[in-house]
Amino acid sequence: MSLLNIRNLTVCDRRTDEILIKDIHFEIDSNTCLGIVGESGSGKSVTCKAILGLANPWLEVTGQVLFEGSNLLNAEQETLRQIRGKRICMILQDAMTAFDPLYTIGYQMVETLCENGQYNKTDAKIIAIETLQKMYIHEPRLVLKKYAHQLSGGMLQRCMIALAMALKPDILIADEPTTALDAINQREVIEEFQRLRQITGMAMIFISHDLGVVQHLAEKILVMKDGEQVEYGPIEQVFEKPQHVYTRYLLDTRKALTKSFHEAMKVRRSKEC
Amino acid sequence: MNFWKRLKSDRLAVLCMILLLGVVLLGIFAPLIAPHDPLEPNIKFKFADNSLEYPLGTDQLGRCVLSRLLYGIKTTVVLSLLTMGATLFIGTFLGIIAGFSRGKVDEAIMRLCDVLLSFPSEVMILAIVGMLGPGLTNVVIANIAAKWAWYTRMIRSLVMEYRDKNYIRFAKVAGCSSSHIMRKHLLPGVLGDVIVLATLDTGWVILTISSLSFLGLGVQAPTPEWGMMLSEAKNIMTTHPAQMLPPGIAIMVVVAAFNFLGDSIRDALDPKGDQTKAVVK
Amino acid sequence: MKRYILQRFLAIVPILIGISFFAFFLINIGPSDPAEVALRVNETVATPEAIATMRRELGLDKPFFIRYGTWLLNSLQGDFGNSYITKQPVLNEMSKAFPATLALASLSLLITMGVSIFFGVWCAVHEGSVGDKIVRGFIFIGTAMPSFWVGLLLMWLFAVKFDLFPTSGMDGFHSIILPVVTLSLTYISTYIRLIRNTMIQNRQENYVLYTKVRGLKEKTITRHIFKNSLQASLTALGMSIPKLIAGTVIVENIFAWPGIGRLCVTAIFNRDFPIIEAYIVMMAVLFVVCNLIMDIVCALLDPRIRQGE
Repeated sequence: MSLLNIRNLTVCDRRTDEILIKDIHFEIDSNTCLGIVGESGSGKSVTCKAILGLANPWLEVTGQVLFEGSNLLNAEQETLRQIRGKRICMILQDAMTAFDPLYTIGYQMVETLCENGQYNKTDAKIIAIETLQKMYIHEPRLVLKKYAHQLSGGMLQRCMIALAMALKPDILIADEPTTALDAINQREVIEEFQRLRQITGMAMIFISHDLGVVQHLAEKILVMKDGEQVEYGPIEQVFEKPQHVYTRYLLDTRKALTKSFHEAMKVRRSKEC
Repeated sequence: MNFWKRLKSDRLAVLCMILLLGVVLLGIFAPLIAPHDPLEPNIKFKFADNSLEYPLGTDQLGRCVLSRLLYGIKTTVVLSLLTMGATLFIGTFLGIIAGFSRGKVDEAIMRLCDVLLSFPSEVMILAIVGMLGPGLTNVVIANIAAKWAWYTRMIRSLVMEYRDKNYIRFAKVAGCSSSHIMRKHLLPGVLGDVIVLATLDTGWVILTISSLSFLGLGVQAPTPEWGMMLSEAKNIMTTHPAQMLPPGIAIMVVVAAFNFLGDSIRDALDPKGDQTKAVVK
Repeated sequence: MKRYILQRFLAIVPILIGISFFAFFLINIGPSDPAEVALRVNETVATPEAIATMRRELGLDKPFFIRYGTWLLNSLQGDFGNSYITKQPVLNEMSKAFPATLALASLSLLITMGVSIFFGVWCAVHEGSVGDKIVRGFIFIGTAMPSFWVGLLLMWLFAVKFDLFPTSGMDGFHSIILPVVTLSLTYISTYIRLIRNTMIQNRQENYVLYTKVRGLKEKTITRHIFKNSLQASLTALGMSIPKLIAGTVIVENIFAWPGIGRLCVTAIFNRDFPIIEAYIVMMAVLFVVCNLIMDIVCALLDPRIRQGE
């Protein structure tokens, strides 16, 4: 049985009767990565928020979100709260506004660890420092004392990833973690994810509008357009023989750019060896 | 046109509009409708109970309470509306001049507004009434003086915002004169926010005028005015507390209607409920 | 940070000067001649000679700017002249009355803030519930009710009908209760609405989504939202202090509370210009200074400004 099973997931706006996403279905097993690809407005973020029960209150979510067999859409608020963070963790797109501007990063990481695990404050702080070090962040103690506005977007993104790592969830959802970053930071963050997968073996859902990025991380791919699922399957299959016109369009326009991205990653990899 | 549709569909807002319109009409036609002369004392009938002849009874001088309420509409409500109108006129006029001319004129008007705005409105009103002396005209002048600066500032910033939008540039390129642009293009856009503020402020003006009249700084006896009626009711509180009710309820209902209308207009203008500014005056 | 404070300090100097000038200007271009008023108040016949003498006495025959300069210099030293009525220094009159107003305003501040924050937070957390709707109804009516009516109703109910509190005067703790309740009720509606709306708005922010994503408890999330909302409304909340002091005018009048509000209204009736002048200047300066202090406090509490550029 797969870890997470999405069936017929549909989200409708009660106020305007507009359908945001329609009949989405996919499966995730542990230690696999699913890439969700689509343009802005295709419904990628809505899908992930719906899975966690965090869709806006005026949206109606129907279908099945089976996590270890039980449908999350019918779960109690408290059950959902316990699953969020501990079992399913999400990394937001805009790292700069994700942290509360009035508290230090360290405070927020420690409070997350304390409320999700059985840690006390001292242990939580140690774990936070350890995971920051694993993310190759220098002087983690200093970083913990800083506020969000004092760190760069890339650094904040890595803090979020570190926090996710420390929580050791079964599934990690990364919502366009590289979109708000410049090229150099993008590369670093993708490497973090690769490392994360190697170390922890957790399942991942990686959302992006960038095919090239997804290609390096995912085994399966889901293509969305205008709220509908147009393509779903193993990544090599989709790339070789895309079924849908839209997928083909994405691949063609991406090929040229992907090429140079590949070159850069190859150079980096050969440097590491 | 969406705005009117949305507003019309808000039933309570429509109710408020009808209510307020009705109140204003009652006030204008008070001489025809009121059962008695509001100023005529009739000591024999003082503190009469509610009856067909005196629907709300009589006050301490035997004057019909209902008639005084109706005549009071002119003093309280209609006057407030006129005050608001004058404030708007001055504010809009100066705001558009400032926004459109830039340079020294703009600078001068803005400095003046800055100083006036750092004066709290309550204090400004006391200052002007203090300087000119008690009286209804002075209260009105005080209200206008207290509020115009805010409208000037607001309208100026709106003008400057719209000024830089493309459709104004197109109009200029097409050869329209400045005044034509102001009339046809700028005013309709700017009007929306101003109307909301003005509606909410009207309630404030009503409260201010009645407060000052209550203190004795506004209308002078025996002119019927709701605040003044409450002041008279205070003196007989121990014996006839019910006299406090009609004018107080009247003020409350009218001000509430204006407030509700203002909120509804704001919602109709921007249904997403974009309350980016929590306004505390 | 220090530079920010310095900048703000320097910025209010021209405003303070503008205020002092404006206040002086207002009083002195009034239609009534202060000399004539002063004479009339003392029941002296206002013959042209008497007026001329009085003008010289009050220094009104000097040119405008010299009068302004003298007045400004004197004011800075605390000399606002003498009351036309009592002939006592204005400063004395004001100092006698100010503690009463201060007591009234301070107590009202505590109550207003306590009640507003409590209900503001509660309504934001339970948005849409029956309780929320009731409170919003109360707020709506509260902002429409004239404060003097509220005072009168309370006075009738508690002082006359139930005879629990005195109707007027200032003696003992008993007598401050009704004025404080009246004054607080006037502003509680506004501040409940402010806090409630700010918190509801903040709920849409990205960092709130992240707190939920991290699986934090409801109480913790509310604490995050509350702190940010307080930060956002701090200036408005801080301005409640001078507003309350200005707002005592009506309450002091109803309950015959011997504070500066009552002093000012009496002065207006008596055309006692020195007192009116001093009151205006004092209140305006209070507002401006309070605004400045709130700006600085906000800056200190916000790590984004505190850490500097």
